[in-house]
Amino acid sequence: MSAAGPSQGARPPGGERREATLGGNHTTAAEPPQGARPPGGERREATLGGNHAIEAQIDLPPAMTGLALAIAVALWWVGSSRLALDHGTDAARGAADALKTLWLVRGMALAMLSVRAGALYGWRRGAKGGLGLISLSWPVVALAWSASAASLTLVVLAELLLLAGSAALPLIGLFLRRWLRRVDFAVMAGTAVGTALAAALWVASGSTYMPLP
Amino acid sequence: MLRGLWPLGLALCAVTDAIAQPRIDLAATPAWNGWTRPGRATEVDVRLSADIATRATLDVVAGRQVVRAELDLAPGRIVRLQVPIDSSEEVAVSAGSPVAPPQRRDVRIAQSESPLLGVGIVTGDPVYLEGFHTVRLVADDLPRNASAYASVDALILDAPTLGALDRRQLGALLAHAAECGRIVLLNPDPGVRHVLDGMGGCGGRAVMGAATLADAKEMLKSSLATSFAPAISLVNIRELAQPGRVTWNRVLVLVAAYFAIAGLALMLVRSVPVLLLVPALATVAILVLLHAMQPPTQLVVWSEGESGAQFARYQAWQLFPGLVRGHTRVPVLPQLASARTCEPGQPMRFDFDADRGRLAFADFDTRLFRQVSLCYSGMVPLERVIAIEARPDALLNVRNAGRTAWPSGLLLAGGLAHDVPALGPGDSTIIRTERGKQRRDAPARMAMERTQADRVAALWESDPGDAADVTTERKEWLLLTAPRP
Repeated sequence: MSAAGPSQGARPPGGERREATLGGNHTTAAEPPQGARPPGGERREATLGGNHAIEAQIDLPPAMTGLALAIAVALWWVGSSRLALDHGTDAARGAADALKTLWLVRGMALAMLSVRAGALYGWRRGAKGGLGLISLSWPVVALAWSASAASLTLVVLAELLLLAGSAALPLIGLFLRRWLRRVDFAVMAGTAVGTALAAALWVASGSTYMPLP
Repeated sequence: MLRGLWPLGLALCAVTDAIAQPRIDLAATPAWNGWTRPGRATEVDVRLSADIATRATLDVVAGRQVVRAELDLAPGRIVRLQVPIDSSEEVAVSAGSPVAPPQRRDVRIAQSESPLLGVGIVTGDPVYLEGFHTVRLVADDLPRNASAYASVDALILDAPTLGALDRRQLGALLAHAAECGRIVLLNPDPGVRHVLDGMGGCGGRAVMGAATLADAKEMLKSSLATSFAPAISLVNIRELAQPGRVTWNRVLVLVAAYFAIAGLALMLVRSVPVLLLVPALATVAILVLLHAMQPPTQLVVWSEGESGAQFARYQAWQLFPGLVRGHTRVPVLPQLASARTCEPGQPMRFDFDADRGRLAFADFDTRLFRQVSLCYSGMVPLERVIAIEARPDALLNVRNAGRTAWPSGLLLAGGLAHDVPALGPGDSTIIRTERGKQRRDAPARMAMERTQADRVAALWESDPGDAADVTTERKEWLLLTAPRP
């Protein structure tokens, strides 16, 4: 949180901006000082000054998270498939579990990261981060679907739902920021909302009415 | 005036159309008088006829298996088909043509939890064998497909019933005898007895002759005390075939390559469009590669017989490794008999060749890592004779007493495996019994398991022969047993 970072308006040694990350300390260096407002009293979305290198580094953590999730699930699925082949059992159940896990884990991560990212960096950066988070699992989803008995329509719909979530969730963060008018409050509220959404998704995943792939 | 003629014309057209429609007659009767055992194969005898020439499609649905046949029906001719099916309590038989209304008959097949004793005797004397459920049979109740003999565990047939069997029924009965089916012949014709004795597997111990029904029951009782070599399970076959690793390895390489590329792209490019493009392209590439690299089908054939017997029985498994979600149509191997699906729960559609009376093609769904298999069983002529003599100092003299040469193989005696060189007719070799090896490979283990303690066995891995068929990987073994000297 910004409270843990340097004071508002201060610069790190050398006058350089600190890298902003979604998971660690967030600099508000690109933001106007707390309490200050642009003309008209409205807070603008943080653009990070159009510095592409820094923008890319902001996109990197969600993408790295997405890659790590994909690797973890892929390792588990490939291992369980090997066990199923060795024991002559059906590998489709493991593949279906992998599909469900990938969807659920990405959905929960998306909820937790995108609302917060929307509050911090605005809709565009939040949506980009969400896309990076979910897209890196697509090859694993394709392979697991090939090995499962899940319907293609359901899997595609599930991916479309995640894509829709990556576009919609940052809007919640953006709304919180505009409503609360302070970034640190907005980030805290965004984190709380994201966590609540992730928990709701987790609870709903156990429901028989949740048509997971 | 003309307006009034329209309805009349239409009515005439309808009547003409109705007259031109063929009427298909359909009848279906299960083998074994409608009895089988759960999970065992059986057969349905279907009779079809039509009053005018027409092309008809016959569908026999048993559980998750469908057998389809395309038939040309001629007026006044009854087409009769014996369709092998999986065990199922209800079998739906339907026939239809584009111009005739479909006909459907539901056949109920009783599933006995107790072993089944089939009794085909004309006298009608009551037969009771403890623990068995007795099924009374007439000649027409016996099947024409050898695989349908899996439904019964023992059989008593008298001479009139044997004499009433047609050529296909006799062929199936002989195949059943070669596969160690327990059969007691009641006062058989000497010629028939001689033929069945020659064909009988398991050293002819499974085919017995009796003078009276009481003798027949006693013989069956004493025979049941001996266990003949049971059918090989699919689990054991997987050990022989060692399947599945090629596909799994390829998938592992694809996944690892993708993650390496994605990781590098994240580190080096860091552009959102590229980050989206890499997984999208990788997904397409992986699906295309899976379609392109179809691994070969595996065929595993395990034959076993007794030294000096005329026939060896075989079991064969054709394994189709799955790579992608899709539908596959494969020809059923014509050189192997009694084709069927190895797993009754596996949905499969067979095309039945009505002219040849056998299954011709199999259709089934595939997916990654799923291995669908077809099972075959039957008998092959056996020309190998092995003569073993014990010599002093723990030596065995192994001689090729047959008319054909042997390739090199293994001699299994006393729980140890000994290498046997290739031997021509009449050639012999000396084996030192204490120099045997503990072989732990799947074929040697299987051979040991299937050799009784009072016998020795020779195991040969056959030359695949038909190497031109690159789409099939063949593995064949022949196990020949002989009495321990």
